Amino acid sequence: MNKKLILLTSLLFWPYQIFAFNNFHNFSIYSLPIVFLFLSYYLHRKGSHFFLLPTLLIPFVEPKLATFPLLFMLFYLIKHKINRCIVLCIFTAVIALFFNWPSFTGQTIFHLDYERKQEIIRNTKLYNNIFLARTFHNKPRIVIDKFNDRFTALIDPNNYFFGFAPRQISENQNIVKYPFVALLFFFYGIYRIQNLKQKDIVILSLISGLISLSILTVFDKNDLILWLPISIIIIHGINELFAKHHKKERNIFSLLFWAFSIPEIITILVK
Amino acid sequence: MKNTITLILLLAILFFAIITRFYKLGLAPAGLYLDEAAQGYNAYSILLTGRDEFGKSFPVVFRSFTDFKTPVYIYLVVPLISIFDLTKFTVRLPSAIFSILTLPFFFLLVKNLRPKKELRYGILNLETISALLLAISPWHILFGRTNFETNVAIFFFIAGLYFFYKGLRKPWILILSAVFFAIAIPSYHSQRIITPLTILVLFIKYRKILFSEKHRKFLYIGLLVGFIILLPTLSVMTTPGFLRRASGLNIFNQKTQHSAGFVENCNNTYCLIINNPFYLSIKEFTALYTSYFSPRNMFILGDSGPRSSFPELSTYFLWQLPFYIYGLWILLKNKKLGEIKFLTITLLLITPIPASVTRDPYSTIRSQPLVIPQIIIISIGIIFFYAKLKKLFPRYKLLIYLLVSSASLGLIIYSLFKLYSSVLILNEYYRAEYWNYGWEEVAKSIETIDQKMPIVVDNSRSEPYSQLLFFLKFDPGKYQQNNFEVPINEYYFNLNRNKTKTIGNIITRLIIWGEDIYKDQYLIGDNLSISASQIEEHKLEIIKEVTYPDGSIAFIIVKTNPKEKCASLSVKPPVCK
Repeated sequence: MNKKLILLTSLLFWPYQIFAFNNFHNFSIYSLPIVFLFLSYYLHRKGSHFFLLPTLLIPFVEPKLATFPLLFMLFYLIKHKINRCIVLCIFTAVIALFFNWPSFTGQTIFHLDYERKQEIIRNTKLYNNIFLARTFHNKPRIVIDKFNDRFTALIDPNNYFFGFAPRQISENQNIVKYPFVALLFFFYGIYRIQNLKQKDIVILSLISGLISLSILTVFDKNDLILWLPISIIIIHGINELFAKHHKKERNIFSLLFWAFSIPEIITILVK
Repeated sequence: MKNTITLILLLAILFFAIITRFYKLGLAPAGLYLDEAAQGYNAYSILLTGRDEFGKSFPVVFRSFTDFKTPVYIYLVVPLISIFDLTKFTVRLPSAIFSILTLPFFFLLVKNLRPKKELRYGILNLETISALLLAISPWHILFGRTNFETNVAIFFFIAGLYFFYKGLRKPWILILSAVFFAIAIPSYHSQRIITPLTILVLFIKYRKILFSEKHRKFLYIGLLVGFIILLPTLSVMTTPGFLRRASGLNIFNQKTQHSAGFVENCNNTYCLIINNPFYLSIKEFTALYTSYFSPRNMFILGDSGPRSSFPELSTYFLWQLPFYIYGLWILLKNKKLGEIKFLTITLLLITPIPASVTRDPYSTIRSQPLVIPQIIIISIGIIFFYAKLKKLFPRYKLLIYLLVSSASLGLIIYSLFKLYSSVLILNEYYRAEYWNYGWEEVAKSIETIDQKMPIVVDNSRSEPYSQLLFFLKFDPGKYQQNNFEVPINEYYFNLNRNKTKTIGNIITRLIIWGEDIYKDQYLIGDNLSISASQIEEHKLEIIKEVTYPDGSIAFIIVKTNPKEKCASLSVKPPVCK
């Protein structure tokens, strides 16, 4: 019972915060991709060959995630043989991307950034050697730097457990996505990831999500798509820690969890 | 043959280290930050008078701006001034020297701890890669080119560790270990926590060996020698001065500031829970602590402080990120790494603690010892990656070797040029103001103007007196006589500050516009304290404008014109008559 409560508390944090800080319409836009991804997980678990199909609907509810299904399928191909179903899915994913291109393209890091361009011109003039200047200051660097900024923000544990504290981001709600004590379950879940049965699809969806979010100008709230893979890792960590031969650690972590999560829960409810 | 290649590699590593730290040492950064100037001048004062700027004889911690600077670095600068004179190069020299001296000890420490058959493939081994990465580490280089105590502290700490492990086999070396650890503790504030905690962990792990018949005698001698070295520090450790940094900055001190997450104006019963200081402090500490392992901080953002980072360069190069993640995975999973695994994890967990107790997010100066375990982790990642490649493509060993060698050389060259770009070009242009650029030029100008006239230097936004003392090489004896702050017997206790300083005909204080313009004197300040409109309104004569490298005004030296000012007024104040 305690374990189930801990699980439930950890997993509901993030969706509840999104619900509380946004109106219902926006909440449904951010949460529907998870529903499709969840369907995908379910079909994969049942051994269905069509588990890729639900992800094709994601671009139609949230155009910003138009690259997610395509990346998901391409990464799937790394370890699996190509077949007609996958080819059809990839083709459909490409169509979906193009269909949503007008809404998608203006919200990516590939969009023109005039200020950064001016910065490059300014910096280039500081160098005596033009080759050196161009190596470190050039237009592709604008996109690469933005991608790196976002990618590292998305893999930053402080993003999920402390709302980016102590270095919050502007243009971001900086919400705490999981109780900070769940950090222990998360890292333990990663440490014991070899025991996780669905690790392939979890890693697949995680990497696809990270890359598709990293190309967005603002990924805030859309990163809710990572809730499923991260939550599975946390659940796995809790299960591993609460296994029968870890009774002492179980009690300690339960105590720690409730001691530090209750104030967080109250803070969220009050705000 | 292998030994020759290893030697060549080591010489190359030393060469990179020397080039990156000594090239334009003292000239880049071009400015001299006030803490650097204060340390340099106090060393100068000790050299000439045996006392610091306040007249205290050989202080245990240096009062300075009532920040009570650690003493080791300042005493290291003293003999160098007698050789090289009081210059920016001299005050930054100990940082550079000890930064380079750390490398051989680090190399030997890793070599001794690495399991003999693990973490090596031909000439590619953990100690060589670790030493190379430290030699070109932006984090280590930044504090190796500037007058910050932390690099010197790391040297003594690493040397202490090296001699400790050596001492487990040859007991008498434990005494050396004690000496170096004992010097590390007063070398920098964070070492007051890191060194004792590390010693405690090592002591617990090796207590059977340390208390064995062979080792016991030398352990006791080492403890005694360490205690004697630490006596001066221990004698002041309960004074407000010694505890100043710890009490002022720490997140558990709720008197100065609430913890992050504190909900203001909360009067309900549940506020006792959500505003509970214990809960908030632990949460804030955990957030700060985990931020030191965040890839975002390590590889992209770096330190937000303009003097604790170089523009467009984080604490590590971005290409090291995948190796860091892979190395961390290997470190945790691999059971054959032996003592290097134990020490790396110990240092990884201990070194961020002092920095995490202070509010500044990702403070690279306070957490600098963290560079050691993180470099080891990146090196582990590189070696295992190379091994994995060879395993995946066994038929192409030579090709892989050539590819990896070329890629490594390419990355090293890229990294060196990146350092050059950020340290010598961008930093000089964008961060000159933060390095207090301009005071050297101001001091040179002061030497050329009328020495009989008073000079008022505005100190509303800075503390320029240490830089003026430094660049003017003002007589420390005279300075001590003409400036009083607190009685000498209250040196470590009384935290009052006197911000007004007298340096011959120079006084550093606020410019009093209602009075100063009616006296014949020079005024010096930045463009906020002496604006263009004030120059026009008060008929001031511009003697010199000192500019930053980007062309903006750093400081202005003006001469007052009381007669002209009085003549311009329709209603003349009493002072004009």
